[in-house]
Amino acid sequence: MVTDNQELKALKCSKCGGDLVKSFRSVYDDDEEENVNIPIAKCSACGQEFDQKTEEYYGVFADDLSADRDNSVFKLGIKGTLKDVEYEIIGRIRYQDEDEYEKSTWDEWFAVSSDGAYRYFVEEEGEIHSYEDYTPRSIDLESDPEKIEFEGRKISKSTGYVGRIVYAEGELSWKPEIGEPSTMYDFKKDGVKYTIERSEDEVSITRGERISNKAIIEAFGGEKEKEQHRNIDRKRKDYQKRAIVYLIGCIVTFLLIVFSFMTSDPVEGVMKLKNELASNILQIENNQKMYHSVVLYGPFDITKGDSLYSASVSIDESVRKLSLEWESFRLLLVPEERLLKATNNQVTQPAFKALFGEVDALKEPVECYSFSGDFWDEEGSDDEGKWHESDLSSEDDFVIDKPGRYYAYLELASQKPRPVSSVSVRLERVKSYRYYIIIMVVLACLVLYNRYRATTFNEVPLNQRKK
Amino acid sequence: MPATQCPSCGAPVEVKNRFSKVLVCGYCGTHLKIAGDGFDSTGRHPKLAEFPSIFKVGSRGTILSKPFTVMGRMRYSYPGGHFDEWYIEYDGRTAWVTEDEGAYSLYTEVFDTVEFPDITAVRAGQNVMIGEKKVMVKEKGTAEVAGAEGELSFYIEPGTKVMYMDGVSEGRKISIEATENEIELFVGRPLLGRDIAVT
Repeated sequence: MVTDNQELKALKCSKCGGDLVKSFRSVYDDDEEENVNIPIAKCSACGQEFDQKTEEYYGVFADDLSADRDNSVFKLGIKGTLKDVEYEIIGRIRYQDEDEYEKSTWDEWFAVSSDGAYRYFVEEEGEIHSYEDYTPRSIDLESDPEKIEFEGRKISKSTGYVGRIVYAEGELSWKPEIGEPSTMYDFKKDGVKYTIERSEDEVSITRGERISNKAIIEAFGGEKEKEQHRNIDRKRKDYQKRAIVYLIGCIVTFLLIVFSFMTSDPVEGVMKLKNELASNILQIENNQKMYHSVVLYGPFDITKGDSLYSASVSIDESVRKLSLEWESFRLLLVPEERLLKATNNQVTQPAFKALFGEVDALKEPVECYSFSGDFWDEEGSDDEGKWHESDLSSEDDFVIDKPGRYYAYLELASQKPRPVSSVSVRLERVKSYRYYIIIMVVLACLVLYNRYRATTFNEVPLNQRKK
Repeated sequence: MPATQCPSCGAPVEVKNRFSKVLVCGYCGTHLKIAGDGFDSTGRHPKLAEFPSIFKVGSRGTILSKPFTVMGRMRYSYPGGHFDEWYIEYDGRTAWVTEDEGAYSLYTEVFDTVEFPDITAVRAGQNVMIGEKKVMVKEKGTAEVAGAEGELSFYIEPGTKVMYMDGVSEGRKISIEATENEIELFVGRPLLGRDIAVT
């Protein structure tokens, strides 16, 4: 029954009996897409290698995996009262998850009550569960190769993991060996946590309940740890409050983003001044007649640079309806300074005509933004009867870097002669939400950080304490 | 049965249960087979070491609200430790309470006529059929009788090897113990600490 860690046998090479040393093996990691070094045990005599699924490996690495073994409120010989029962901690076994190269351990503290009843306190990732033996109404480990049947519930065997003993001390009800494996299945049923632990010789079924760290520290901790715990509670509440404040900020920012996205700021006077450069000039292309019109609107002021704008070009049906015909357009947004440079500061219709007559052949584009589209109105008939469809507007988003005075050059080609004023141009600034997004992301990070700290902040030495 | 003396040391001993077949002298540890009105001394063995337990020979109380008196104890040792089997008078009958790794189980039914599996061949986690019941094997192994105290319903010489198999079926605990001469099946249930009250 009594087992001291020193009694655990030191493992030697199972092949030749030679001493084992720490070493590494280089393997290709699919995720990292490069070779990585993984720790292994190696026989210094014959070179035999042992990976983390062998007992030899733990004989070599057990000390590393139990270096922080004193980092717990539990200690051998310590007494504490939980639910009016006094327990004394008499032993401990530490397991390492054999699928992990890094340290991934949990401790099973063996406690005996004053009346001789035993209990395991499992300390893992800062949580403590109290376990007791459980006899299920039904259990079947073997009939289904994929699943375990437990009181009518199916548990996938793929959820199982193997724990290897890396440390043991004090009094235990059995004699552990370093590296000894056990396959564990943890699951919850009806809100209760169960563990099935299967080794070569035994299947153990236990039922656990979470014990709060506060209760554990009140029961087993010293005055210093109790004060630390009170301090932790205070700091965690502070983090929680901060997380709530940041969350509110995050929500407000989100609402601002939505508001900004939904609202806009129109550019005034786009169509106030106009130069009609051409009106319904008949052109024939590919034996098809079309009427060509050109108008230059502006100048008008755009007051905000580095902003998102929306351009909308649409048929103004109050001027003339589009009826069973089509019309195409091209809109160019021209900064006044470029236009003046291109016309040698001549703000005259002939100069504009000359410039825009060759606009596609200019070495330096005069426009800072271009947008094309079509309007159409059609009807016909099919299996479902007559149909009539039309598309009378086009929209596009763009960014204007610099504020200033601009012209809007509108080129129209229509199937029938149409007044230039039957097509309207509208520009509007979409209120910028990009900064709000950055602020929201920052606030969201602060929420997550403070929530994390609200559950993980720790000063008390509970192993890998999380909650 | 009247009080009498240990034939080995002369200490007063008393058999309290009519089904007891062995009495271990509380003074010298001699195992006394109860035969008719007298005792056959079978040998002296060291007293059992005491480990924390809610039971001791002679303790009384209730289990599941029914009265019990502890008559005796058998202790088995195995490579990983030991377990105790407490022989009790329970609600007018006899029964066994096992105490293993701090867990208690009450066995009130004992069978020796059902068809047993070959427990040498079973392994932990396996399903076996006992009668018409499917039993999952929790543990199997070999233990050695370490000693005894008080009154017992059967006698096994200390040092005797006993094969055992523990299982679960339909929420009940199944235990099979086999020696060269005998094999017995115990059916019982787990006990929680609150199920046992020692007065």
